Amino acid sequence: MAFGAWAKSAPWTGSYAEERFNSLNSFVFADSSGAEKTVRWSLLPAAHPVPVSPDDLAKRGLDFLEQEITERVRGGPLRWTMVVTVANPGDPTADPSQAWPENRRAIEAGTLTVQRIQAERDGPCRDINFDPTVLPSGIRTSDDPFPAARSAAYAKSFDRRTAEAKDYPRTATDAKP
Amino acid sequence: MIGGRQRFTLLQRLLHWLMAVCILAMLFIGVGMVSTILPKYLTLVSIHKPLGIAILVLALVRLVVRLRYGAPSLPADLPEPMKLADYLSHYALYGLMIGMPLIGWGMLSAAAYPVVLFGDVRLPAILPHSDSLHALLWNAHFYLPFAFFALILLHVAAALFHALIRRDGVFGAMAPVSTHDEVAPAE
Repeated sequence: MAFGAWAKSAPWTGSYAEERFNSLNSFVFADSSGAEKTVRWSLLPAAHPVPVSPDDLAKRGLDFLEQEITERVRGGPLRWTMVVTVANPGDPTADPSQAWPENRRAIEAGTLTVQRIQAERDGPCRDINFDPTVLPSGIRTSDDPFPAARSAAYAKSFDRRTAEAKDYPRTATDAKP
Repeated sequence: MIGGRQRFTLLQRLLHWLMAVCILAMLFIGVGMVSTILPKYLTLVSIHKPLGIAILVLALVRLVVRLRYGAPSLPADLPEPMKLADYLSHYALYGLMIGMPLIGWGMLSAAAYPVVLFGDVRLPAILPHSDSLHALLWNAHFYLPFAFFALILLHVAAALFHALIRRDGVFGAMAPVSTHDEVAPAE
């Protein structure tokens, strides 16, 4: 419901580079002293968002976001700031559909720099399962049940996908309709 | 085979019963793991991997111990088909005890997953990243356990047949405690 309202009212942009990305799921981060905090992370764009009306967007090609980001990165690296929002006790850390109050402590944790775009078809990312529970040291799953559910479901879909990989050739010339 | 001895060595009996517990637990953890999307999925997976490696290590130790100490001879009057079944089923059991963990490890490697034992302890990949290998090993890791379970049921049935029907000392050779009634059947 909240997302539906947001999607109708929020400004649309014409680029991934101008979008904010949110984890929705909460994770437990350890600080340098080992103390653990439940957080959600967001990636805030360095590029200034330029609103585009839905009517204008409808006139663009079906893959214009992919085309645009590829073109844009050619002109120089793109950056997002990783911000970690810390839950207060009692915040709904287990429910990714519930927003936390606006005034929660937010910490800048790093910068994501994109220097190159590789196509999915023949790039190294195609055959990887992006499992949200494969986490680096210092980050673990929280009481949010969704990463576990995603992990179980993604493993299944990855198994099916790899079994059919021969039907999804890596180069356009291999493709047989 | 080393003749004359009635029972497996204490080390062999310990390994047998420890692995029996581990493997049975493993089969049910595996089934439970692929039947849920609840948070216990992650807990079960995190037990499954180190337990699988533990079984692999125990199986390799057991193979060396078996090659070193052999096994008590089967009763001379055991029919040939049963002797053959004994040999074949034990080759299959050893093959699966060693093969299943390697297939699992290889499957994770072929998917380029980190093979996490616990915490930051990770194992290296034993196979290259490959869709076709992953699909093949995933199927093997899914279907072979059913064969493994069937073989274990057969193994248990044979053990009970030796213990209760034939009373020929074969069960006593691997029993955790000494069972005199096989040596000298009652009645």
